[in-house]
Amino acid sequence: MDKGLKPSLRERAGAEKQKIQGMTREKALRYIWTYYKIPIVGILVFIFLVIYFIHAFLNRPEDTILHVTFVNCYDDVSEKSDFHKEFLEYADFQETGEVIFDSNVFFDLSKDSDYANTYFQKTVAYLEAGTTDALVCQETNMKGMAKGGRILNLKDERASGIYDKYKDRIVNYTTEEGEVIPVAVDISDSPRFEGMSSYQDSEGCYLCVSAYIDQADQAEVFLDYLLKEE
Amino acid sequence: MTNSKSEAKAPAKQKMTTWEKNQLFWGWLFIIPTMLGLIILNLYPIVDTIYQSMCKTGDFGKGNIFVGFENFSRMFGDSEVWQALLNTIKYAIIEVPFSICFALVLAVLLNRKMVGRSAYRAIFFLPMIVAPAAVAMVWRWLYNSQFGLLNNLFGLKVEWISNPKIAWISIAIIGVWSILGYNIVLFISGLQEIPHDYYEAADIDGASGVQAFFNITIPLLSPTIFFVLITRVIGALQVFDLIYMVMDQSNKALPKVESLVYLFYRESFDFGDKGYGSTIVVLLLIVILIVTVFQMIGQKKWVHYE
Amino acid sequence: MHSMETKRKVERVIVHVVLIFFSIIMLVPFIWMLLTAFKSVSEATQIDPFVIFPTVWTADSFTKVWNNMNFLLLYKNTLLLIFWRVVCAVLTATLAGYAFGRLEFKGKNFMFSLVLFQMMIPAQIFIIPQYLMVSKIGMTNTIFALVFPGIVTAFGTFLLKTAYMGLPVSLEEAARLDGCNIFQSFLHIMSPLTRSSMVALGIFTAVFAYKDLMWPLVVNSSANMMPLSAALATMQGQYQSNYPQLMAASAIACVPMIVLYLVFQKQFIEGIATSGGKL
Repeated sequence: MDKGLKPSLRERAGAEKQKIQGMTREKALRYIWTYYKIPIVGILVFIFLVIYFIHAFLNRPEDTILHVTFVNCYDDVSEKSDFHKEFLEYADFQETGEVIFDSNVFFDLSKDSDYANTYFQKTVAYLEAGTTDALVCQETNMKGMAKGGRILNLKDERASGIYDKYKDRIVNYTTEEGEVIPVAVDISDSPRFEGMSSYQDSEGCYLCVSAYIDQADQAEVFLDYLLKEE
Repeated sequence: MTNSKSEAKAPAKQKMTTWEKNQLFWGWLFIIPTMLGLIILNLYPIVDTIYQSMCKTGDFGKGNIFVGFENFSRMFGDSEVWQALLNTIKYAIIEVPFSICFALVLAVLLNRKMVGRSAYRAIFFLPMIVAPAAVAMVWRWLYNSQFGLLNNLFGLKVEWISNPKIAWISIAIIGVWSILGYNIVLFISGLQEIPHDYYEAADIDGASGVQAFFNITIPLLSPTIFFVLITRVIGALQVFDLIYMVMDQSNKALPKVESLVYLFYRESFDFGDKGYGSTIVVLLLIVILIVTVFQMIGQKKWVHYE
Repeated sequence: MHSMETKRKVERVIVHVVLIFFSIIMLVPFIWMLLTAFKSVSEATQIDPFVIFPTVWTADSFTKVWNNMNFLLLYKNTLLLIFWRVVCAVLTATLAGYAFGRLEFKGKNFMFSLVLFQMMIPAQIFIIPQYLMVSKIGMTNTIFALVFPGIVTAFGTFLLKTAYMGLPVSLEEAARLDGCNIFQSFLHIMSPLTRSSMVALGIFTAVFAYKDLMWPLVVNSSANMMPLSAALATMQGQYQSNYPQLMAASAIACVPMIVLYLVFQKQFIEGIATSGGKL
C-alpha cells in the first residue's frame, strides 16, 4: 500500500507545528481542541489519577492493632461509643494504630437469605485476608464458623495465653471426624455487655480467634477487658 | 470482503511492512491497559484456584497440605457433583435459548418507529435496577404453593419450588426473566448499527416484516447474537444467586436444582473446604472451555461479519 | 392497497399487545416494591390472605428511611462509583476492542483467549484476593477501592470487539488512503460508529456498579464511603424484616438510576440512527 511513503512521526509533528503557528491564537486553540481533545483529556485524567493515588496513599489509614468483628450486634460499638473508648483506656496500647470494632455484619448460619450470604462472605474475606483478629458471635454462628475451620484451635501456640488463662471458659467443637477442638471462649456473662440489647438472649455469646492471625496477644487483651470484674 | 484484511498482510515476506509494524505497535498499545488490568486483577486468583484444587485445606489454623489429584479423584466419585453438573446444563438449556429468542423479538419490536417506544424501553430497563430483595420476595410469593399468585390465578396445586421435577424449570424461568432486559439492551445496540437502507430496499421489494427479520436482521445481527450466546452460556453455567435467592437449604428439591457454583460456594465458604471447592471450579472451567471452543468453531457457519 | 392498510393496522395492534404483555411481566417486582413500601409491617409479610394493595396507604416508611439515612452522601458515592467505572470500562474496552477486532498483530489471539478465559471463572473466587490487594496497599475506604475491580472489563472488551468486527472494511481503507494513521482512523472514523455499543456497555457497567453489593461491603466498611447498595444491606441487617422500610429505601435508591436513564436515553435510543443520516 503506502509503505515507505508514510511520513515519520517527527516529520508529521513538524508539519502540525507549522500549521498551528500559521493560525491566530484562538484558531490554534480550536484546532488543537478539535483534533487532539481525546489525548488531552486522557493526559489530564491520567495526571488527576496519579495525584489522587498519591493523595490517597499518603492518607491511608494507620495500621490496625486490633480488629474485632461483632456478628449481629445492634448496639453502637464504633469509635464514638463508650464501649470503644473504655477499651482503649483499659488497654492503653503503646504502639500507634487503630482499634476497629466492626458491627456491620449480620448473618445467621442456621438459615440463609440473600443479604446474610453477602455478610458471611464479607466475614470470610476479612478472616482470610487477615483483617479480622477475633469474632464475637452467638452459638449458631460460632458453630457455623467452626464447621468452616476458619477459627483458630485455641491449643495452638499463637493463642496459648488465652488457652491457659481461660481454661474453664473454653468451648469445644467436635468435627465430623470426631476430633474435639477448643474453638471459643464463653463471654456470655461479660459485664461489658450489660446495658446492651445485643447478646442478651439465652443463646450465649462467644469469642473466637481468627485462624489466619499471627499472634493472639491483642485479642487476649480484648478478652481480658471483656471479662474483667468491675 | 472478509479477505481484505489478509490481503493487506499478504505481501509480507520475511521483513515486516510499515503497515504491519504500525499494527503491532498500536495493537499492543491499545490492549495493554486491559491486559495489564486483567492480569493484575484476575491472574493470581485463577492460578491460586488451580493450585488450591490440589491442596487439602487445613482447618483451625493448620495450613494447606499439597495432595496432588486427591480432590479430583474424590470428585469423580462424588455423585452430587455430577448431579450438579447435570442441573447446571439443564438450567442453561432453558435459560439461554428462551432469553435470547424473547429478547431478540422484543428488541426488534422496540426498534420500530411507533407510539410509546420510549415508554416501553424505560419499562424494560426498570427491572434491572430493582432491589434484589424485592425480586426475591416477588418470586417467592408467585411460587408459594398455598397462597402464591400462580396457583391461585390458574387454580393449580403445583409445588413450584419444592417439587424436584419442576423446581429447576421454575428457577430457569426466573433466570430468563432476570436476564431478558440485559439481552434486549445488547440487541438494541446491535440493531442500531444496521444501516436503514437494507430495510428500505426490502420494503421496496415488498418483503414482509417476518421475511425482513429472517433475511436481513438475523444475518446482520449475527455477530451480536453470537456475542450474547457466548456470554449467556458462560453466565448460565455459572448460575448461583437465583438458587440462593428462592431456595431454602431445607428445600427437598435442592439436590435437583443446585448448580456447580452453588456447590463450590457451599464447599468453599460454608464448609471451609477451599481445596475441594476449587476442584469444582476447575471442573466448571473445563466444561465452559469445551462449550466455548465448540461455539467458536461453529460460528464460522452462521456468523457474518461485513 | 386497502388490505395493505388493514394488515399494517393489525400488525401494529399485535406488536402493542406483545409489548404490553411483556411489560407487565417485567414490571411486577418494581410495582411490588412500591406497594410494599406503602404497607404496614404486618401487611407486608402476611401471606394468608395475601395483601396486594395496602389497606391504608402510608408514607411513613419513606420519611423514616429518608431521615435515618444520609441519602445525599450515598447518592454521591454511588454516582462517583458509577462514573469512574463507566469511564474506565468504556475507555479501556474501546481501545482493546478495536485492536482485537480490526488489527492483525502477533500475540493477538493468545491475548484475546486470556480475555475470554477470565470470563469463565465464577466471580466469587476473585473477591478475597482482590480485597487482599486493596488492603495491602492500604486503600480500603476510598473511591479507588470501590472502582478497582471495574477498571477493566473482559465482557466489554469482547462486546466492543464484536461491534468493531461488524463494521465494513471499506471505511477504514478510505481513511488510510486519506493519510490517517491507525490512531486517527480509530478516533475519527471507527469509534464514533460503535457508539451504541459503548452506550450499551455504559448501561451494563452502571447497572452492575449500582447493584454490586459484595465488593463495596467488603472493601468500604466505613459508613461515609459506602454506596447505596451496601447501605441498604446494612439497613436490612439492622432492621431485619421491616420490609416496608427496606422497600422504601430501595425505591429511593432507584431514583438516581432512573434520572440517569432519562438523561441518557436519547443517546441510547437514537444511537447510530441519527449519525447515519437516514430517518
